[in-house]
Amino acid sequence: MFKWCEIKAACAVVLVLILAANPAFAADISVSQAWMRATIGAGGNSAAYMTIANAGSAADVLTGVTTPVAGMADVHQTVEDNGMMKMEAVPKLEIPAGGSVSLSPGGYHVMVMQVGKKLTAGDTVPMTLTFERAGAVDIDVPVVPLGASGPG
Amino acid sequence: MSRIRLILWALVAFAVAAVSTITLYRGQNPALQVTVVDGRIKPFSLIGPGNQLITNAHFRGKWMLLFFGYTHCPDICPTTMLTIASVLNDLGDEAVKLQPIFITIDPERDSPALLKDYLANFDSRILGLGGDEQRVAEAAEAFGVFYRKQPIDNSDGDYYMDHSTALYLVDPDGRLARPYVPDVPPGELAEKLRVRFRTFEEK
Repeated sequence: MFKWCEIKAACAVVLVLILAANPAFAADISVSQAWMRATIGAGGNSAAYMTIANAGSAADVLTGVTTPVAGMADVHQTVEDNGMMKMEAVPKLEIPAGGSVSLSPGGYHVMVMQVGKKLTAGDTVPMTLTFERAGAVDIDVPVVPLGASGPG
Repeated sequence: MSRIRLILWALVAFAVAAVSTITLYRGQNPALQVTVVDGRIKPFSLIGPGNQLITNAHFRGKWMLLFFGYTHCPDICPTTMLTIASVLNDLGDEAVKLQPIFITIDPERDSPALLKDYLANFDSRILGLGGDEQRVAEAAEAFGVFYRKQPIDNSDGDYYMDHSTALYLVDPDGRLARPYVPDVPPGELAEKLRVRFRTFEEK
């Protein structure tokens, strides 16, 4: 009834439609204004800040962060609880479709713990952000002085 | 007749006072309850950068602006120290009237020498104080500061600290002027301090 080439053509059309309908390519996620503070010695902690934009038409979710310089890296949020500041893990950070989320002092940040060697201003720290849809996104985070308030 | 009226108004005044007290009390943050003895802050005795004993009496005649934090704190402590550094710059010559103090709530990892190195990254005029668990606990209690160790899962004993993050202003007589939220804009805080300095000097 159907010719084999017709089936192949139909499959190709369907595939193109699926790809077109699924807007989350890695290219939809872009990271800008990334920075993190220097540490005062080996084994210290730092926080990385950045703006994550999603140009796609579907929301994406940041599910994890890894970096070779630290034992652990997690998305955290500084929250106030009755006058006490606490850090809470944010295992899923949604980046809205066509929108952006900013990780900035006093709010969301990538908590970078057990940094093997001292981080000095001028260093660059490679980091891999993992998104549900976009997959792995590699970024380089410039290290600024401990007493800096932004990416300089 | 006027007597009944007086009683009525007295009742109204009493009701207003009662309600506002309750409202104020409710609105007040329990973490900001500072222990006051005869109008003055409770004494503390901590260890300074040269391993010397430093007590609150050391700062009589100067304004103190205190913050409790720890050097492994990745977010809120550096941010607050930047605020203080900025306030010191804004105050200009008047900065000599103020002694900013960072008291560690993580004495296990923060030696007085490490505190000094850490604070030099922001402004070397900020004095770091520490000591053993007992001294730190007493100082924190005096200011109603809460802190607790928060172990990090799968980290081989690593931890961070949950802690109160208000800034406490103490006047040159050792009286608590007031606590400030840590995210007050530095320019605004510098201006508030100037007003405090002036009011105190005119007394």
